[in-house]
Amino acid sequence: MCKIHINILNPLSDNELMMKVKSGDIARLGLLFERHHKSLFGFFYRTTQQVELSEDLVQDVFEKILKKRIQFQGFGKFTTWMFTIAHNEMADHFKKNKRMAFSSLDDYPEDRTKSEQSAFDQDEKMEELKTLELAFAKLGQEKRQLLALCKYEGLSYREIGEIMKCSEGNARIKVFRALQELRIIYQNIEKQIVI
Amino acid sequence: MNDDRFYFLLTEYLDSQLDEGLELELKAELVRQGENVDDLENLRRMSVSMNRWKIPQPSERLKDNFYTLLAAEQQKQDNLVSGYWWRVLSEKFAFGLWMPRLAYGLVFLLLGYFAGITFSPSASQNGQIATLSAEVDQMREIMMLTLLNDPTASERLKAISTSHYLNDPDEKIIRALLKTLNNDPNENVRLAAVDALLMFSGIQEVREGLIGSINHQHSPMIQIALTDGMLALNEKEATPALQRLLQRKNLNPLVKTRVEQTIQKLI
Repeated sequence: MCKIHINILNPLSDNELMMKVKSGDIARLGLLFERHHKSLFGFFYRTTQQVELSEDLVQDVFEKILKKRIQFQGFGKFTTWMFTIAHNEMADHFKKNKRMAFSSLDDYPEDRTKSEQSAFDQDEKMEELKTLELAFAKLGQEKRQLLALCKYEGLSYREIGEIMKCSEGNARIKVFRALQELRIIYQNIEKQIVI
Repeated sequence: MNDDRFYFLLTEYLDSQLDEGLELELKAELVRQGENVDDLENLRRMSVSMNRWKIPQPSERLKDNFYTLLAAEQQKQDNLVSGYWWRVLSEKFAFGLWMPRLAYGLVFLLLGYFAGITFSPSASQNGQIATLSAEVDQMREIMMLTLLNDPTASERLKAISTSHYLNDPDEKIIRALLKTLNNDPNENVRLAAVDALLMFSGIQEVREGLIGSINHQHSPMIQIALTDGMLALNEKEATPALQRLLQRKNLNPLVKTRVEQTIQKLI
């Protein structure tokens, strides 16, 4: 019986694509960009809450990927490597611009509340969610990054440990403490609103 | 309970990943430490509601900037590669080196020829293989046409990669590939369609379709791919279309340079 070779139908994995980019077929980076730019944008947006800055940082990450392509070994997951670069870019950015956080409800970016208002208008828990986002913005940048990676980008604690240069156990402790701190900030904001 | 175990259970609980037995173990430990179990439940609820945070989409500016970066890097690399091969050829093309290599090459060519005669299949086997090959081609064509209409870009990319294995594509396939090149919303899919069509450049309809597509495209990557394709085919008929492309006001500077160079070489 004729056996059709079905491998041709399987798209290349991230690591295979990156190895091709490394060997000189850099057009393949376009496919990696298509696969991951939204996820990277989400990571930066949740950490900075600024659209334009997040787009610039995504661009910086892909520029670094191109520059560092020779260093990609293909042993770990491509996304872990990509988020490690993203984490370093974020850290550099914060070093240059000091800590970014919104000190009160008035500092909450206006374009965000306006642009997203309509999406949440029908949601009866909109206020609760807005308070939560505001509390998130008040966390330190590393904690925001940790929670963005864990809660939104779906990375495992082992991968987060690799990115943050700590053990898996340590990553779990850091994520738990970041959530505890978020809860405290959230409760404080709620009290301010009530007063 | 040690710290590793405790935080493992805590984080798994917050991610709603604990089974009943482990949840009981965690709650017992919290009670033993004098912690409030309800606090943890509140934390879990907050952690779950975080998933409802919606964020805006990145703008087209991000894609434009990325593909401009990629095109610039590609050009830099092309320049490096052409310089490299020129150096390699000029260094390696020495009499003392290529004569023994040529001799080895001829020996292996002759060995291959005799092995081919000895082990080649009979005429009836050849007939069966041809029939099977035609059936496989037909299946691939059906699969490709189905996948090209899939809403996900990765499926459409799979469809196009299937075309690389078609020996003699029929009119339907060519038309489907040209339609993809001109209308697909995803840039990578369109880029893959250019590659696939260039393989069938012996077909007049393909060459005309590629030329016609030049002024449909707005992405610098696709414009460069088509321009390079025209140069590789030495397609002089493409010159008017390339000249029209040059008239565009917002044409990417890298594309402009590449198109100008191509027109000069084609004329």
